[in-house]
Amino acid sequence: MSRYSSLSIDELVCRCSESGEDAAWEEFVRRFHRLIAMVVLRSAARLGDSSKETVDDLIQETYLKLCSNKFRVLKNFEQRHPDAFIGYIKVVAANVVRDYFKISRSEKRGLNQATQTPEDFDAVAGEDTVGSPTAVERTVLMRQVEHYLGDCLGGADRDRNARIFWLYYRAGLSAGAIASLPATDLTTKGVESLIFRITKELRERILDAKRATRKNAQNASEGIFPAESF
Amino acid sequence: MHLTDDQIEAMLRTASSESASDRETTETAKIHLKTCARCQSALRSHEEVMEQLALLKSTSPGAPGDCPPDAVWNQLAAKIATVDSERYLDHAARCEHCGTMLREAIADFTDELTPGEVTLIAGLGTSMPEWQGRFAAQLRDSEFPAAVSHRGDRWRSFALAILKPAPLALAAALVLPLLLGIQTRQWKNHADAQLAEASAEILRLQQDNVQQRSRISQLTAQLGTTNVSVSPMERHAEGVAASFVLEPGLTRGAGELKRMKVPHGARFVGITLRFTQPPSGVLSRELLTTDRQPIWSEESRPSVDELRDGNLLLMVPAHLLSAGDYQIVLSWQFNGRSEEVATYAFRVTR
Repeated sequence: MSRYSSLSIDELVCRCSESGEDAAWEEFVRRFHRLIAMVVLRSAARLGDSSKETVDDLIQETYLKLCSNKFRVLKNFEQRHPDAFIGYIKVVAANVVRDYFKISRSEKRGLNQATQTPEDFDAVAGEDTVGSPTAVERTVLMRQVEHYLGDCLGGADRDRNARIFWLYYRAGLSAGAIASLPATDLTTKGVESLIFRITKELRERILDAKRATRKNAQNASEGIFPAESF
Repeated sequence: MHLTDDQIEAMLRTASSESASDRETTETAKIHLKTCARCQSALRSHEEVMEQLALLKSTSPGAPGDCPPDAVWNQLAAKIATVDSERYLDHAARCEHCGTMLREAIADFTDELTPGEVTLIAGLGTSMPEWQGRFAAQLRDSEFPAAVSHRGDRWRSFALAILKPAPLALAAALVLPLLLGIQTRQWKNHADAQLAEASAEILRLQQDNVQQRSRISQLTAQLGTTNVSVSPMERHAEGVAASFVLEPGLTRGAGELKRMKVPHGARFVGITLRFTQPPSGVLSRELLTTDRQPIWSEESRPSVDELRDGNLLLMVPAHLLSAGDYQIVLSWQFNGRSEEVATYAFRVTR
């Protein structure tokens, strides 16, 4: 174990950017390699190329990015909370990967420009594309939920609670992920309780509406109409 | 006795819940459900609504509309707050494209590694200790500044020394103003950095402006337009091969004359005239030989930008300046009168 292994993150970052000790940089690489590799590997896999060569190149690129302009990135970093630097490393690594794929895709598009024309391109519409029955059905459902959701929410946190609801159901984020986001101001348990409460109330309202519709339909078949329909 | 709301909730949660109380509640409810059609129907209705809510989840990324920049989602996923965090999250909550990006960024940043990922990372070339050692040395050497700091150790010793109550109070009284000073200094540094960036941007815009005007000048020339007034900046862009700075005032002897070597092929000579009192109104610039014979003159009302920093740029056609001594007389014209502002003397060599 090196004498740098006991340093806090900001002390280590300071040593790396301001001193020339090999051991400080070795500790930096030792401490953050797994994190950088993890983000690079996942982002690259999602974007279509997680070969060892590409991932290794992008990991190196991330380190170089952190050291560019005489370590300006490291020197200017302000530790606002204990995990800030870890979050910052994740963002740098993810941006390196995103930029790499953006450039490599735009280069590929440039090369293929002359080979593909609109005439020989017959795109298959997905089930979820705009105008498909699934998409229309989903849009109707969303409007319906939006309508009832308005009745379920109230108070000062109305906007935040609506955001949490849609992040959970529409964006598909877990309660833990929502709790970790800035501006949520709730624990995972708090988010779970909130979603549970809203869902329960929303379900009741939707079921009440269904019951009312069913009753009206039943009355209509028996020749009984609500007073306002005359 | 039919199912209560709590029992229905417990039944709906049962698939995902592992709590003992839920399991206990559902066991009782299940027994009742076997024989009660009404409760079966009620539970089914609730399940249907839950199935509908599950359909709200976006399955395709969707097309980007008027969305925030992609980099925002990485920041939010990394728990880095910005002033617009709430606005961005509100957008992501209702946008298929951005909601998907946020979800993916959060998944990429999740700290737990799967066994497969552990194996993959262990197999990378960059995970080898030898590579890491070599690369660490390379990082150190990349752009390493000379100073070696051990600030962390010094601060630790200092902190231990002042932990006793009396020195602690004294230290607090000393350190507080110091911290305030550091904060002020950081603000100043930040402001300086912003100022430097703004200056660089201004310089870039000025260069763009010169290029654009040069292009306009070229196009105008191509159209065969004659008698077009060409500004000093435009001439500058056309290819000035020589430029000089002159201070005002006649010199006492030829030995003190500012010398200009005009290279062959130069079309214009850029002469920057320095002045102490900024002139205003219409300015005339006259190029004279030492026996006051006029060679060239120019009149204009310079803009504030052209007079910035106490300088006025003059572009003189190079072919007029053969070897010899010259004077430039700067005059200010007002109320029909002309008043000399400054005289500049120089010698041209070829």
